[in-house]
Amino acid sequence: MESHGDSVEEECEGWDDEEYEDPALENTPSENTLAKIKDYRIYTSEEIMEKQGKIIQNVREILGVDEDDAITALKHFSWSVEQLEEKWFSDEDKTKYQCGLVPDDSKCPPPNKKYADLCQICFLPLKKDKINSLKCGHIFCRQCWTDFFDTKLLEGYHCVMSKCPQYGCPLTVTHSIWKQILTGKHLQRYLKFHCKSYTDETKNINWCPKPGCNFCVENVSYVVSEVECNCGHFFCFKCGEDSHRPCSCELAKKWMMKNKSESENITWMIANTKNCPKCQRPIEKNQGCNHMTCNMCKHEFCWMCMGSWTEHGNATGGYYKCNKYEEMKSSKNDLTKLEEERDRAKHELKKYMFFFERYSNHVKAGDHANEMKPKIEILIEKLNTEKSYPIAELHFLKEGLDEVIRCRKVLKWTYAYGFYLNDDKEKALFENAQEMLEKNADRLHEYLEQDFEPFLCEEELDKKPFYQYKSNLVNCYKVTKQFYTNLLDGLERGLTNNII
Amino acid sequence: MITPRIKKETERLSTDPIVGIYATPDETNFRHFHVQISGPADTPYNGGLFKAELFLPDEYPMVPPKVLFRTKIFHPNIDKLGRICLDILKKNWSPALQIRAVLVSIQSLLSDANLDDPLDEEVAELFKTDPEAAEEKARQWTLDYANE
Repeated sequence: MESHGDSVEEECEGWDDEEYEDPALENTPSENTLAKIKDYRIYTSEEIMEKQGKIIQNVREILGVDEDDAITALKHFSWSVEQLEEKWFSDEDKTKYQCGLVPDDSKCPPPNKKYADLCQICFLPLKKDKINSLKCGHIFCRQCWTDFFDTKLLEGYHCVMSKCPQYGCPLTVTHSIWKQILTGKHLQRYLKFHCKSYTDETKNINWCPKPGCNFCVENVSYVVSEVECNCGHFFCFKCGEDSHRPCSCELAKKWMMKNKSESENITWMIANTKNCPKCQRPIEKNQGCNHMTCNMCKHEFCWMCMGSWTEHGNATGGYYKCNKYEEMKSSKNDLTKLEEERDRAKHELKKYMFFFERYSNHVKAGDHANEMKPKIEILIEKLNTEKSYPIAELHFLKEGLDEVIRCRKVLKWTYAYGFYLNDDKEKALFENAQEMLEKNADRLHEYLEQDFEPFLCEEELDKKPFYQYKSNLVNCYKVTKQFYTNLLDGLERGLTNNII
Repeated sequence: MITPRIKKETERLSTDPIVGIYATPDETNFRHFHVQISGPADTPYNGGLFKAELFLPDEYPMVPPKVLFRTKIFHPNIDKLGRICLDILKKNWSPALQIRAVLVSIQSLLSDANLDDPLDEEVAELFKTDPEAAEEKARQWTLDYANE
């Protein structure tokens, strides 16, 4: 592990040279991890709709159908052009019927002439604005269509598959009727669902889960699970949760469940409380004395042997020296079992506390780093305007901070990973990698949290100290980045593949 | 305000009633119907008169009516609380369906239970394994509870 650090530092020699160019940190030797990360594409909602439009156009040409039929058929086949083509060309009539493209007069005949001038939903006479766009001939007034769609829109994106309002009619409502009837917000909602029916049914396209973000991500190769949206949100492509490398989705979920659940409280109760021998209420011992009095039932007993206090006295070795304990333990199997359980629970809790403490420490440190972002911006601005350092030479501050944030994120999850890791020789490798990254990320974080006043001081004309500082930070950055890559690559290649 | 549709449906229910079904609107609430369904012949429910309540939500007919049995009945698709498992009351509802269609469907549910989609597993199980005993029980319940 150390060797990586050394080799990187060698490369960085001469960085304190005042004349040197923009450090261009992103050009550090590209690691596998970074190469993998770029294996996805991000689209705006307009771009994804354009992509969807191309698929529709393509299907129109292949099948020789109009836009409405192409859309309906694609929706039926979950936007899989291959499946649609295969079925269509093996049995066109059947496929058309299944998609809801053709009416079925035997099941659902057109309305008889007696009622033909009435809307079949509100029973009011149809006016000029009657709509009869579906091929089945079931007529409804515009208002009823609107109400029908409004109700359907509440059901979520599957509403795009709605059938004709007539009972039993197999026809799927066409895209153009939706667009014709709806206006304003409701039309927007439908169009969103129309797009969502494509993105949600397509496995390698997901929307960024950050609230209010309108980007979506296409995972080209399925290799990557972590993606960074253009909005800056890192998330796991598979489960949609915040990025949780190096843990798998299952492990991350397990850990979060553990943190959330009440089970730890119960473990704590087992470790730190005993039940009153009389009323069975749990009691926490918060003072040193073994003479317990239950708050609820006023029963007095000994904390050590759980026997009644009335049996305690000089005869049993004094009030505060219960020697009945060992005796009880050996004579009563139940009690031994309980003690064992308590010990086990205590150990389990201790282990969890150890990992959780470190996990939440990195969460907090990550939050602090995020809070520093505006400060760093101001600092860069000041260094540029007051001390006339070129902006290009100040990028390293921002990039250093971003690296700290990235590291904190991974480091916190290494503690969830470590919690579930089996005790064996690979554990040592993992812990070493974790330690190295932690050490260096801490160092980098410290660099960024240092006092910058001396560099901004008016009297200070010598720029050397600042470039010295920069060189130190950049070196630390590179080393940290290397350990970051080592850790993730190591774990994700299954170096330590021994999770319980 | 009563909608033209509900008005027409209500009128038609009284002028052109369905055989074996009585549906009368509540005096104070035009969306609330008191329903009585007579047990179809050739079923264990024959001779019984089953009370039910039918309610039209504000969104009706975009959403289906709510129907609840008030008389205890031993039927695989109707549970102890009187709730009914019927496709057109849920996912197969169409705004072009009417109260009539709903009531007729409930009536035919009494003649033709749907054992594959039971609401009360135990009742359905008995109808499957021992239809005679089940029918006897249904007959007894009809006598006990639906015989006013």
